[in-house]
Amino acid sequence: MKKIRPFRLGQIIATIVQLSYYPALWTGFIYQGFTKRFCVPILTCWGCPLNRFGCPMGALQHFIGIKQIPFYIAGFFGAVGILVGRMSCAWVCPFGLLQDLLKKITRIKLSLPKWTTYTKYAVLIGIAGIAVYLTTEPWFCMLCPAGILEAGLPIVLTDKTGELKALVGWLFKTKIAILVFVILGSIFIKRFFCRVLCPIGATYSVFNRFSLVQMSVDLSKCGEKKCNLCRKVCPVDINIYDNPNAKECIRCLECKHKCPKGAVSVSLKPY
Amino acid sequence: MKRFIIVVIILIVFIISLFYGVKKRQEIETETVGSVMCLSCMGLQQ
Repeated sequence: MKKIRPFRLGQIIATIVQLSYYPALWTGFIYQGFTKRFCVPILTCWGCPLNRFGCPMGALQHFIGIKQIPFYIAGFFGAVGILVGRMSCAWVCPFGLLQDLLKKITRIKLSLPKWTTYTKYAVLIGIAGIAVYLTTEPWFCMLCPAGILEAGLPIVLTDKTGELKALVGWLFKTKIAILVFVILGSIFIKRFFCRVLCPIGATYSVFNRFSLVQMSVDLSKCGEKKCNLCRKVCPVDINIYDNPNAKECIRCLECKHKCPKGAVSVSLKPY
Repeated sequence: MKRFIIVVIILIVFIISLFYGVKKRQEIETETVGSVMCLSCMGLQQ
């Protein structure tokens, strides 16, 4: 039997815990308990009836929209980022799990030009920041593919009264188009959404270089002819030996587990 | 070592920000906003 990888186990457990409000399946109401005040450090839609936790990007946009300094959510992002960098993207994100599974559909692998990885910063600053401040509308939520997948589609498809179906318009179709684009991208490109579009990943990526959890590679163990196994197993397609704490690294530790020479290590003592 | 101390100081600043947000009841507001059906998230328009 194939052994389940530690980060995959983390993803599965986190998804089950986050999306665990099963009464929503027969009542049709979303969860309204106290755990909604705790944001999870990943992309998950708080409009999803099964979701018991808050969306950090939704909360950030809310405070930007009402012109308040988001102390709570900025402190949350900063503390998580300083502690573990992008580690949560690998270990607890349901949308990351979906992308990993989609990538298993085909062996065809396309590479991304490096400039595309800067797009997520434009999404963070432009769509989830400036646009929200100027219009008071949560623009990232309005375009977020996780929202249509976890909330929009299941709620509209199970709407018996037809009240919600009547509200379907251009925005719903736009979100569907974005979801299809992300799904197709994720089939051919490893972690397409995380690397190109995710504003939460963009926030944490800034901290990768400074976080307390740090990766390191002992190049002397690699030898002159690198086996490149780390690159093959990497879910975000980076060369860990070029920059062990690259912005795109999601610290899944697959390279560490798979390295035959034990050259990759992770430590909590960065400096 | 100097860099490590700077990182720890930044971490403390973020934790203070988090608790200041709690003092301003921003976590209650987060709960309130997250507990209503978010039409924008679902892509629905009135």
